[in-house]
Amino acid sequence: MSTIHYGLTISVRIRPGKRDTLEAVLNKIQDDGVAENDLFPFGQLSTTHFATWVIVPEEEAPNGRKLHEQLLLMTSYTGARAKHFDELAHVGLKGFHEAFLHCEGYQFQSSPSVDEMCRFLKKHAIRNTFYTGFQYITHEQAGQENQLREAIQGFLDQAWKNGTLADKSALETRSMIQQFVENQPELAWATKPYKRSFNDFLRLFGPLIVLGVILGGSLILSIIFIFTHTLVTTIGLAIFGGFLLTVSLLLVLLRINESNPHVDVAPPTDERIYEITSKEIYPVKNEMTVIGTLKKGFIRRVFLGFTLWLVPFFRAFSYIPTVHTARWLQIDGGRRLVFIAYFDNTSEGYAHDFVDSTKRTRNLNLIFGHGKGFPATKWAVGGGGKDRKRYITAVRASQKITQLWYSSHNTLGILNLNNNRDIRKGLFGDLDKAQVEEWLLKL
Amino acid sequence: MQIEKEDIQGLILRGYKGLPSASYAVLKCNDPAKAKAYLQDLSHQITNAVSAPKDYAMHLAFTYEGLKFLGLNDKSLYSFSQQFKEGMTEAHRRFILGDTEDNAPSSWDWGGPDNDAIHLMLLIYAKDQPTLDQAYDEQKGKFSAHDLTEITYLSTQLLNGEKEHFGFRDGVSQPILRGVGKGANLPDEKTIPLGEFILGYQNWYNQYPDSPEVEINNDLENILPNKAHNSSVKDLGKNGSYMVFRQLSQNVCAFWEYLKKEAIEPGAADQEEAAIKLASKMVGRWPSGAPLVKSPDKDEPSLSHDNDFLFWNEDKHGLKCPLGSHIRRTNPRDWLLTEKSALESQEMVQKHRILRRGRAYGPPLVASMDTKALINAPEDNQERGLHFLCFAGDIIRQFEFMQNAWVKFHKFGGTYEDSDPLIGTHYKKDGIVTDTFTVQAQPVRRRYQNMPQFSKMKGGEYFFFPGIKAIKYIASL
Repeated sequence: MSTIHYGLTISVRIRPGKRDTLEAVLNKIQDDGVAENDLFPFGQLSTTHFATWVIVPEEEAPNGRKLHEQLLLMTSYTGARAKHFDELAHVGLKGFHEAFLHCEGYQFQSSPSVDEMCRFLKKHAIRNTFYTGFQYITHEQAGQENQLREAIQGFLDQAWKNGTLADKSALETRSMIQQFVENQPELAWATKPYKRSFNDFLRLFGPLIVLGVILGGSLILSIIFIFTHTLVTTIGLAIFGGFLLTVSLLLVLLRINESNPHVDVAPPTDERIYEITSKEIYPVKNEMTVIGTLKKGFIRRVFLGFTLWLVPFFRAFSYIPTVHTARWLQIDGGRRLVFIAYFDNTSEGYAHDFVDSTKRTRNLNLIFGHGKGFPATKWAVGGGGKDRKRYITAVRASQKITQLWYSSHNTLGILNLNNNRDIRKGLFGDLDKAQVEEWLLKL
Repeated sequence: MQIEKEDIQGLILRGYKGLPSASYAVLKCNDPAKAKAYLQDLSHQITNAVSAPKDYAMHLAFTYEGLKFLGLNDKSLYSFSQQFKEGMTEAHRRFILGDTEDNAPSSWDWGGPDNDAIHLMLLIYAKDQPTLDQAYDEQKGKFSAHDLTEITYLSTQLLNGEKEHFGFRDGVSQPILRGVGKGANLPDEKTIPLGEFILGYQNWYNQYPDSPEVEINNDLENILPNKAHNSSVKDLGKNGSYMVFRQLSQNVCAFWEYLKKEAIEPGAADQEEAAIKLASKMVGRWPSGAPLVKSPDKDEPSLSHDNDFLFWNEDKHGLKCPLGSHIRRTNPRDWLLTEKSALESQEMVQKHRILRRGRAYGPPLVASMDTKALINAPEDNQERGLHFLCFAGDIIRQFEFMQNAWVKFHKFGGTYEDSDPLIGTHYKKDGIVTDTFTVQAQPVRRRYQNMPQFSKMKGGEYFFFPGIKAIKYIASL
């Protein structure tokens, strides 16, 4: 089974005048307990880490074009995509039906079959660019690994009290822990050494390897072209030259657009900020949804689209400190940018993850720099988020109230999840003395 | 930009070590006109930052409710920061600050929704108690004539060895302001821009912090300066700051009882030594003030004022100074587990510093503040603690961020159930546990669980600590 963490987004347009009734359905699911309600018990989803259901309001693009209300369902999952669809349709059939009754393109007057719902979901799935702070960890593994960590913690606490850890070396301590785990039948799964599948490696790094081979190969062929004009070298030159030309052209056109006078957005009122932040009431994880139109100019849509296409190739190397998952997508023909994130603690701290780090500010600019009201960028990565006041104002002005969101393993922070995985990996892994010492520090 | 010391209240730039006696009078105005007459009179006695006062210093701070009561117009009121306007005890602020459970405002002695409204705080510092009493009595004599009610009078206590009540030297680590005092001769990378603490000056982002303002036609006497980047309005915040005041009651006996009972620190000669070692692990410094990073195994009084250390290279895994210790939380320096390097950590941390000016209150459990004597002293049921007081140019980015993400958050530094051992909120509720303290060690850590809350909130509020011209303006309304 794939343990790669993916994002799924389903977008459906809301029927005119149905927003309020739809919102009532979503609010009911949230209010009745998002994990265990009658309509859509998200807690029963074994493939899902996070889910958000949000209503995208009607807006006007800078060119005056009307952008319609939409319902977005965004999930993050591990495992096969087909299984995730199937599970969503099974578990959420009733809730989907109640919600989609208020959406366009949904023809069922009474509840459809699971297969029919699956087909509807697949038909409305759209592309997104997904980031995760934890990889190769399934919903089930996250729970198991925390159970393992808690059991070991309990064992060590007791061992300290009993004095059985006194004068023990690192290797002896690890042996004691291993022995303890081996004696716990419910932890039998943890006694098998952890191995990541090659298929998962390929799924994560494969696209980057392919891109690297294409670009690297075409570069080499372009150099050879100087000496030998063959069909192969000509194709290489065309690919590499085309890529270089596209990037250069996009950059130049963007730079021209960047020199347009900056248009500020109206700062949100205190009441609006309060309405948003007062929903952050969870002691470990919270979420945010930012949706807004892009700055004026066709190039914004194209450049952002190109960036969002390119970013996933490098996803194994991206890093945002306190984030569990995040995603970016363009809707309405690229005219609006949607961003959602689930993060540790509160949005004030999370927002600073971007603007307080020079490196991350540059990355932030590449995507958010196109959003209406975000501070002006220079050559796509300069400026922008360096203007902290405008950045925070633009984020808050574009932030939306999320009608419904779900998170599995609510008591675990992002560092906890990854640390639990390291504990599990090192428990029966082949480690030398220094590695054992380092492993013990994770407990 | 030239720093306007003549307009800055001196407490921002000076901790007043030479004025060891201090008190805070928390006041409510009952008649705006009379209160403003009092402020007119008082504004001439406020101590500025030009030179260190020798006998006493007098300072004044306003709450949002106070400014409203005194007649500041709605537009100007709205221009203050949201956190100041909402006040410390608004429901979401409580969540952010950890003022829940044992810290809930419902049990506070002053401040919050269940107690009398607060409008002003008068802060007096003096060279000795008689001078303080005289200065305070002089002011108190004017309270009734100006229809001011004293909600509470908060005295302070200088403890032997510059310690706080648990028995540890306090106030060793403070940010150094750029271009002022020690900061005048230091390179920029070792100092902090004035705008982090004083409104009207540039901050880390090379921007002016948001500052309350007044429309030009509302300052016909031309008392206030223009805003630096917008000359169409007057800067009410210039040379002022936001002041956070929190009264934290400390249960010294419960602290040492827990440590004596639970400490299993190896290498300690006896249970008392083990308790002191564990307490020092919780603080991050030994009772003398010596940092654990520099002296991990025993107290080293010669290092009592040492603040020249970092964590990333010296103690990345917390083997000397635990990752969840108090000093690593309140100032992580160059170490944040969420960052990839010391430089990136520093870049993040420096945006969230505060300027502390707090003082202890209540009689010490043991006058000598000797640690072993403290450990064995019987409970005397006396109220004691810390009047935490700090300045920040941006309450949410500096004080609240620190309190929320570093002090309160039980996942800080990759921990699972650890809030700040000294001032964090300790509880178990709905699967969340925050009352554990982990001591990283080799071969393996020790965990201390079921830790009571040793400090408890008794009162507090957010204040505006204006420049002297701004006080005169408010008095002229």
